[in-house]
Amino acid sequence: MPLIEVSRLTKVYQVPLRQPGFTGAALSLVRPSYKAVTAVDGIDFTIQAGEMVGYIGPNGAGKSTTIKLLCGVLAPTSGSVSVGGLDPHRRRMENARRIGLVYGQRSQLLWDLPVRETFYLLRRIYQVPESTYRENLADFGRTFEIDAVWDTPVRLLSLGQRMRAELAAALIHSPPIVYLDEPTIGLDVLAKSRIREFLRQMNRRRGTTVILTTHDLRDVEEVCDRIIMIHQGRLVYDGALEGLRGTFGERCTLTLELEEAAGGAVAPEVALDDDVRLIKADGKRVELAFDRRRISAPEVIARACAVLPVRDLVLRETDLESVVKQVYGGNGIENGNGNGEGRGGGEP
Amino acid sequence: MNVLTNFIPLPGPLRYLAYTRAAVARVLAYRVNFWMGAVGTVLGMTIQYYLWTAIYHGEDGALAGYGAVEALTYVILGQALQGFLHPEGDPLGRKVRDGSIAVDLARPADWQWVVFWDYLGGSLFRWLTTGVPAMVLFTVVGAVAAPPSLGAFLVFLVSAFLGFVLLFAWHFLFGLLSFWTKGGGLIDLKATAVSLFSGALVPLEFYPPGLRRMAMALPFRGIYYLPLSIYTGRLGAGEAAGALGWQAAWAVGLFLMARVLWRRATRSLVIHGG
Ligand SMILES: Nc1ncnc2c1ncn2[C@@H]1O[C@H](COP(=O)(O)OP(=O)(O)O)[C@@H](O)[C@H]1O
Ligand SMILES: [Mg+2]
Repeated sequence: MPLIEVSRLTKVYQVPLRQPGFTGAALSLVRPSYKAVTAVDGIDFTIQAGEMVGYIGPNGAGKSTTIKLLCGVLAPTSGSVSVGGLDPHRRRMENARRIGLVYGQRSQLLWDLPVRETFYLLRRIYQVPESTYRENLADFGRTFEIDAVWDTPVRLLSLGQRMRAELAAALIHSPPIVYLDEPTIGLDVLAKSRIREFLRQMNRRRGTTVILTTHDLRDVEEVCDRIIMIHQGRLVYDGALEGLRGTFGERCTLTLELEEAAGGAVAPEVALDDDVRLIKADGKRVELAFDRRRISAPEVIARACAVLPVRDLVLRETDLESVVKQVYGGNGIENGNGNGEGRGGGEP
Repeated sequence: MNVLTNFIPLPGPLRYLAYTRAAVARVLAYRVNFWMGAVGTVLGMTIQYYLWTAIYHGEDGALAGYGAVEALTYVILGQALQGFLHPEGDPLGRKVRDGSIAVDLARPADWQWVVFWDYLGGSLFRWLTTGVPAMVLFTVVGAVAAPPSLGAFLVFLVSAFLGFVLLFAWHFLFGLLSFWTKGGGLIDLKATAVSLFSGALVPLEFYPPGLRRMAMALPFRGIYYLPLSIYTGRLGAGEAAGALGWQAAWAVGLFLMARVLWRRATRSLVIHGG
């Protein structure tokens, strides 16, 4: 039996519309009008205990809304969620005892008070046994350097320190399920990799089920064994990371600006083998994608310059937006319902 | 399913005191605010003293049945209680505006109790640290009368607490209504009703008959008028017991009403931001 089952899950927000002008404002007082925004649109998936799932999609895709539905903070408009056999909204308190949650964009720490006060509060609210509390604090204390900020008011922490404290706070009661909504947002590379390492360890040692939303491809590559991708509230991919390897593998995009438009015609010559792929060649602009682990950037640039009249170039990492675009736009998504070998899906 | 079997047993109600403690710590974290509030309270009490001394100047008898000392005791204690029974309080406004309600709801805690114990912490602490010492001072210098007996004083404490519960339930109800209306006008109405009908500023006997009858019929007099009347000794033991029962009935009634409304609100609740 899967740990988490989501079926035909839909959430529609009613956003109040403001008519322009004074009359409009007065009118909306009497008879407010609303626009329906479908943030989550008929999503299905199942997750087994112990999975590490990356829940990804561009901004506004509906990731945070899904997390709130899974936590029971929001009620679904239609469809259902079941976590360990419970409806998380109707049985919110029971469900809350076995989940840990980090909202990347919002703090759960007591903002005006030293870090220790949050831990004191959480220990009481979750009734964490003394021994578990000490063990966990010793464990996270080392990884997240909680000792160093124990007496510092939360509002004075750096973003990295705060995020580490958020994670420790979310895990202090040893929850078997952890939801992380963009936990690495705004962190530097070192801090990110430390968090990823910790999540992998926690999953291995305690069998914690982790659902992680992000728009950082590295998080997904290094932490998750499965990804669920959504776009405009709809599920567009559910399966192993390998299924997207072709798209993810090309981690770099090189955009060339040419001296003359005619150069575009010879562009395919740069992309002779699998290492470099031609994405676009129109007029003076040529876009190439390549995997930095298989061919170095200077090599690609040298190859391009040898055959093309290059005037200028820009090199950047492929971002999630373009991955989603490629998956969603091209790679044969049937019925908007994923084409991967969904690990949790379909089992009894 | 073994991951879910190591459940922590259902936590007891005392765990909410952690929110009370955090609220006290929050008051202490902003010392300047705290001292400004303290100075404001003492200043307000002093102004009431001069105002009502002037009102009774050259007046031998009683006004609306109140002698000078009883009136002074009533209004000055009323002022001292403002930090505890805050007419314009908005215990859930901040939590809704900044979206921290989303954090509270992800925890195994009843939200109404969370807000209650949190609000009680700040209010009670402010009162104990400023209103109470100021009241002692005003009593020692003879500006106000002490309560008639220790018993009356203890009954007053219970009554003031019931007033707090009543006021909290009222604030909570209106806070929930603003989920739907999103308007500020409602907030003004809420505070005006308390200021006008609770007897926070003037004993209700001073009101014109029509307004007075209205105030006596509404539940708000349970917030200031009843506890203050117990303190001044206007209500004898029997009447005080009746007053406590009346307060308790309204406090519990409004609290339960707020609870029902909250249950409904949670289905259509929308939380702002990421
Ligand atoms: N409280 C809200 N009220 C109205 N619309 C909302 C609210 N929260 C989110 N939305 C809308 O729902 C969509 C999905 O938002 P969200 O779940 O936050 O996406 P993500 O986390 O993937 O960026 C967006 O179009 C957003 O504008
Ligand atoms: Mg989000």
